[in-house]
Amino acid sequence: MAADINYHQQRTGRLRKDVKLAVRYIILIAVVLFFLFPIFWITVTAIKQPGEYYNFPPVWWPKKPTLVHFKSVQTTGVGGYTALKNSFIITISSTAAVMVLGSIAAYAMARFKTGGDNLAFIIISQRMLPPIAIVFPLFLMMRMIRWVDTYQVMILIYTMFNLPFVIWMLRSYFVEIPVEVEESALVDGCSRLGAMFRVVMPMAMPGMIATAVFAYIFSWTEFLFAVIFSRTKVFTVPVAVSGYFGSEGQLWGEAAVMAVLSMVPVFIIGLAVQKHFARGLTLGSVKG
Amino acid sequence: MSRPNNVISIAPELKGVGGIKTWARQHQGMLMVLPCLIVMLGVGIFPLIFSVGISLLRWEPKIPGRPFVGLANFRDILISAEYWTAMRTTAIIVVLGVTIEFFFGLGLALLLTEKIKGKRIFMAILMLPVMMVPVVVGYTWRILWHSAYGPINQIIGWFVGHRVTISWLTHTKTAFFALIVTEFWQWTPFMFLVLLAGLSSVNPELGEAAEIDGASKWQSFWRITIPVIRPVILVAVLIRTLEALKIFDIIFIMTGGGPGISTQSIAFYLYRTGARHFRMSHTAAGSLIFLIIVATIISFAVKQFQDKKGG
Amino acid sequence: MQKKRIMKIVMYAFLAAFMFVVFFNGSEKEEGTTMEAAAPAQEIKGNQKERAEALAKKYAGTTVTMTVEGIAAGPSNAFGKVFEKATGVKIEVIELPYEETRSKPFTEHEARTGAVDVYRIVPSWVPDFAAAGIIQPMDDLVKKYIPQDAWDDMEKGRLIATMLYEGKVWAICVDGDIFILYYRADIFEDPQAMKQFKAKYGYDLAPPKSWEQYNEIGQFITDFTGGKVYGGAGNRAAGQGYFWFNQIFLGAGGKLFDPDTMKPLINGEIGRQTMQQLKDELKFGPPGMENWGTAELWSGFVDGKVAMQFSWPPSGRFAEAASGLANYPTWLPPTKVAGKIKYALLPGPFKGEGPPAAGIMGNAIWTLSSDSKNKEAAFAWIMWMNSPEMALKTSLYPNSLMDPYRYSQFDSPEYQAAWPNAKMYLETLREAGKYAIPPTKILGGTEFDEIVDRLITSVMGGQDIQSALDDAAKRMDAVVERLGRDRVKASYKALLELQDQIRQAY
Repeated sequence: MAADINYHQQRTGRLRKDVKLAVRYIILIAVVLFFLFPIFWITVTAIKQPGEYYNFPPVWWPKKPTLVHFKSVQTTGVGGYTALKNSFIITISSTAAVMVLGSIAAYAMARFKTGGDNLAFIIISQRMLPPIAIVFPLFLMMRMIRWVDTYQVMILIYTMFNLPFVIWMLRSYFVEIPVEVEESALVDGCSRLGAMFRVVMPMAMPGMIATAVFAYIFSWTEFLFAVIFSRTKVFTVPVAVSGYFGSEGQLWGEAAVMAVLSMVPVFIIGLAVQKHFARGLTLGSVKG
Repeated sequence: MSRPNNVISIAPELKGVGGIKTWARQHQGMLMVLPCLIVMLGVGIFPLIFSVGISLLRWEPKIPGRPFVGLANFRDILISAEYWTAMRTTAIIVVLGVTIEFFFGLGLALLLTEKIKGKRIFMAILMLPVMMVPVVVGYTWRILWHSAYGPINQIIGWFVGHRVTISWLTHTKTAFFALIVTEFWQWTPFMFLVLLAGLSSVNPELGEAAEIDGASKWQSFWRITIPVIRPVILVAVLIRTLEALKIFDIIFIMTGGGPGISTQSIAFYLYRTGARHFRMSHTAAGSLIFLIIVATIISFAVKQFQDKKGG
Repeated sequence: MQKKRIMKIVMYAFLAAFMFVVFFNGSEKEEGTTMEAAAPAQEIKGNQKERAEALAKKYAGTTVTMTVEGIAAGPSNAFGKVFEKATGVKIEVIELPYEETRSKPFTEHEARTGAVDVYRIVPSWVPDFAAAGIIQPMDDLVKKYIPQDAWDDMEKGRLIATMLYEGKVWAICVDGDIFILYYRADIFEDPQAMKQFKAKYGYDLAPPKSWEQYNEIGQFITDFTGGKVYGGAGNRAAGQGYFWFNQIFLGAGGKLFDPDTMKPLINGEIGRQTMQQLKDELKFGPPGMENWGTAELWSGFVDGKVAMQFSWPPSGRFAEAASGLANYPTWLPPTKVAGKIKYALLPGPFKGEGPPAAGIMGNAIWTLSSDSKNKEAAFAWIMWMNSPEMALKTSLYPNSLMDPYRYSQFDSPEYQAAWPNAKMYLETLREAGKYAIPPTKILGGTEFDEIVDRLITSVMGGQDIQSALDDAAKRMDAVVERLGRDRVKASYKALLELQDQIRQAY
């Protein structure tokens, strides 16, 4: 008798579990469709024939896909591939700089509570002033040292922009890591910085990756400063793409190509770092 | 002695010993923060002071002279109906947007911490919306919402059975909806990724231990997981809010602030007065008032949140 | 203790910055402190192009930098290289989105960088740019170098409306934008259509002479083709709708302000009728026209979905995909209406009879930066592109957005042969100059255009016409008040004078 009830419970339990799993998958698929749809749309736009942009009914797949825009993107406007190159140089450099500077500062603020809450607030307040108010005075400053239209100025500005956010994010991830791990490393003879690099950062790897990705994205997609501080040498992808949408024409194909090419590196990174985001994977060392 | 978790006292064994190495060791916190401070303040303090300075003048190149006018610019902003309409518009979009994005992001992150097939692809895809350059996001969604040429109306038409031509972007209420959906689309992945990273660092054994002791999954989530990722939640919401307050591109491209000025955000208003009309002082004053309001609200919210954290 | 020290530092920094700001803004850089070569001893000979090249050769090895809107940059890039080969002066082209072609000159000027020599802008920005000191007049250079016959070759209406302001030459015209009507001759000349129309309305089916006729024709065509072809379409989306308003409003005799009191007149009867007209056109227009911008308008037009449209001249060229204007734009659908389009002037009055109207909307002009360190070389470049010899080439350049503005272009056999109806196209464009209406070329012009744009989107969004007009009038009044009533009054007077000059020129 008891065995029958137990078996019944097990079966309904398993059924509930299966239903739950199915529901989870359905939700996930619906979510992915929603987020994927505009990306699908812009990717298809990159291979559409001209004139398939404004149609009723809307064109979901071009009759004759074409790769002509991938070529024309360099010769139209400011030069798409040049813009991509510039963006890569600027974004990767500023992301590296901001991660190095920011992680050290975040560690200090997480472990030593350097500056306490006041410092943290001052740092984040840098991001509260609307960019339009900062553009012109910065332009004056940079002009004085002749840095307008150079890589350095863009890297510096993006580093400055991303620091507050990087510091805050990394600080919150570092705080999550329990102190015991570091203290045992210190007892074993590690220096403070060594503990930071060898113990805390690997454990906070998901957070580090998330932060780096977003520093990258903020730098990549920034427009206002890019357009004011560049002239002919360091224009970035947002500047180039904005130029495709003009008063007497919209170069959809070229803009779509630039959007697609921008997404490729991040997509690859996303696939590559996924393994760091499994829950509890990094916590094995705390046992005992 | 009650000491907050995760804070280490700095090298107590070195107290009383001299030399620069020990001085460095004792102040290592300050030294680690210094490079960042130099960059941020070095580059950031002048613009702030400059803004304050010109907000006290009447600097508008179309009008000759740059007289000192004291607080007149601030008064203009405070009585400007357009400014406060923009502030209200911004607040609506930010509050609604960030709230929805947070809950969805959290839900997605929780979903993906479990074992799911194809997790890799899901994650990589979910990272893409934030990657799209704002101009492209604006124009793409503008076509998607287009009343005649947009697939959204087409899809709705399939469900309703006849052709639908809702003009989303030219009517205020539908424009708000469209803007919030677009923002949601673009930024929920941010929430998702940040929260997922936070959840990934949580030791599942804590939750499992609680469950063995009889707690339900829901209880273990609330009482154990959430407090651990609390700092991450705070940061995610804070950063997202600060960015959302500056919403500009999609408004510029999709509605142009229209119809009329009903979907104009603060950033768009300041862009117009600054970059289109060249009203430098007015823009500076508007920016500073915005800064004060945001700083006040944020500091209040952060203090509230941090007080709750026990010592 | 730490806090007090920080406070002190901050205060000193504040003081220093404040002083800096005051002094920096106080010391104005005088205009025209540029390196000018001594006036050439020998007489300047040759046509405008040759003179430009001779002038530029004196500055061989230098660089002239210009800003231009991205999609219009083709000719500048291509011919810049030709210029460099001919003269040794390098042309650097900064391509920008449209909005930044207005904000970048401002930033560069206020910071006195002197990095840009030539700004490509639109006529309605000239008063603001002149007041802000961003550009400098070119009268002395024009007198010195431009031959009279080349000057007279420029169509008068466009010359006056785009190049002159307050009696000085502030810009050089390189583009002959003007609004005319483009209509589907195949429908207008269809015998069935003509019969039915005459029967219904009592007059012949022909390009409309009044807006009432425009609406009747538009409605008729939509019905006649069963909705396959819509009678008429235009821009209503935020950003450019104000051009359409201005065309109708100013063409019907509307005035933005009362010249004496500077009271805005936009909410008067003509304003109301204009908004009503913009609203009525939606009845026979394509669905979703409230969203339409230039991209939708031209796409719909060349795709054969729209029977009448008025906008910028490139739409006429693109519709023909003329072999003489190869390289069809990559964003337009293939044209289905080549050979079917004819041209006419736009109506002026709402009802009845009256002179037609042709608005100069947008339009590209090249101006000389007041900070330019290379003034004469920059002017040589402007002069060269403006010369009759080059103007024809630039307007025939593939996908060029530069429309004809010189009599020599209108009469050019090469251009007239570009497609079967090209001669009619050029003649209509030329004729339009007689009825040219200048754009909102007054101090604060950008702000007034923006107010009108807002007005249109409000009404499209459901606000009733009169209250929207009243709001617009209030806003315009606030702008006038802020900029200084007398200054705007003087500027408006200058604009009305331009209008009179155009009338008198013909």
